[in-house]
Amino acid sequence: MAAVWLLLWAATASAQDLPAAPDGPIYDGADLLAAPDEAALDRRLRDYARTTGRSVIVATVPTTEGEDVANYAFRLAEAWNVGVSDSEENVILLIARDDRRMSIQTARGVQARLTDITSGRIIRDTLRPAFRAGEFAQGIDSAITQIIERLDMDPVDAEAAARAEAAADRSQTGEGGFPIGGLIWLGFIFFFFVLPMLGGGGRKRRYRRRGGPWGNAARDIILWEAGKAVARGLSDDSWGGGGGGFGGGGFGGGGGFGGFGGGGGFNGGGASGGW
Amino acid sequence: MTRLTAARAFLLAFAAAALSACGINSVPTKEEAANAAWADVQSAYQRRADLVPNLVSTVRAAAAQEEETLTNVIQARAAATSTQVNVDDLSNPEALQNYAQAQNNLGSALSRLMVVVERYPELQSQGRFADLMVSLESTENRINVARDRYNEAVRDYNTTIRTFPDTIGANIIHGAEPMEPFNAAEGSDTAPTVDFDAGT
Repeated sequence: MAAVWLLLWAATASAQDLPAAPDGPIYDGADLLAAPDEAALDRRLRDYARTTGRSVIVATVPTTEGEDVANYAFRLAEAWNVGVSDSEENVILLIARDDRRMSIQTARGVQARLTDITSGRIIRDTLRPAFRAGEFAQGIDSAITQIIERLDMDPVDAEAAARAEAAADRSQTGEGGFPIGGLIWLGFIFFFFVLPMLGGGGRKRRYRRRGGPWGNAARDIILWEAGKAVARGLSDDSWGGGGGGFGGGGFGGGGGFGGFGGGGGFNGGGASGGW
Repeated sequence: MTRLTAARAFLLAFAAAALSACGINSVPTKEEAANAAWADVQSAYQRRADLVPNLVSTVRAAAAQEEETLTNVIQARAAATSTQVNVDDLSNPEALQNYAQAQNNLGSALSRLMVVVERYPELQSQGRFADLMVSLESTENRINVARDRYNEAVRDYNTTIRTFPDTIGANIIHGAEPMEPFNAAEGSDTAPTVDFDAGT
């Protein structure tokens, strides 16, 4: 769990203009939170992540420099690789102070509970009035309360547990699966390569001398090649019964792409608004 | 005999080494990744299409005289939902072009509707309408993300089947065809402008 808040700073080209990942759940680049408020919120979000495995991140920036706030928040989540669990239960709240815009981006694992519409309501009904009154700390705090309330709601236990189990199953079969592919290779090599060699050597003993040093060298090379092939067969995850250890959230290593999207499960869902 | 055995064994070992490196696995893996990314693109567009009936009925209740704009949206939606691209057609630029066209038509019909509803402040102040706007906006974001990820997966797949050594397996074993990226046609990069702050 120590690694929970180790958010990876992926130095991709597209992310160069983004602030570096903080070492906690809060990045207050726009100085909207006073030190005691920030510390309290920090502690609260850390505790929440520790007990539930869900990341809720608060980021404030002075400006997105003209970029759409939702897009900026999404890129931030990808670049910071927000996320601690395979269940992809992550949320990021971004506030762009001078643009007077904010966005809540949700990962797939929470979208059934913290729907886009709910996020929109939190923005309209909680954040906007508070921000208009200049009450940033208080607005953020009550928004976080509502977000956490939603995340803790009903389908949590059933659904999240099911997801976590499925993810655990997946990585189990990936890591502990029997390397049938590798065995087939071994058998293949043994029957077609080792056996004929041994048999040939035994029956045609009189040719042995003629083979001489050349035969030995060739055999060594062949053995080496075969060993490499076997090793490759064993290590290649497709032959090894499918990977899966690296799927899902956590440290995907750069929030790449693919059927399952980036590391944290963000897919553009959420809501944004201004004040 | 030793030389023959050696040669045979060498060939076998070489074939074993080569087969596992020539794309016999990586080509289908990347193809499936691209197919899955395409499924995400379609479901994001489907999500938008599913929003339309709700949106139309909400707008109609407040702005019945905008029937023409609403009808355009409904027709564009019908056309968009009837155009689908099977994963087998992902190498076919025309199929993708048609799909993009149908979705873009729906996108621009929706933007026209958004322009029209600007004139109805009572609509803008409705919570239900604001909720729909949030859904529409985040769906557009989902579409963009899914589209980018699909294009990225396609680029990766196309690179794989054209570069050594995977190209051997791609051509000889799988007969792999390059996939088409999803090019947003003109006008589609301007997603419907959704500004639900206007009325408040």
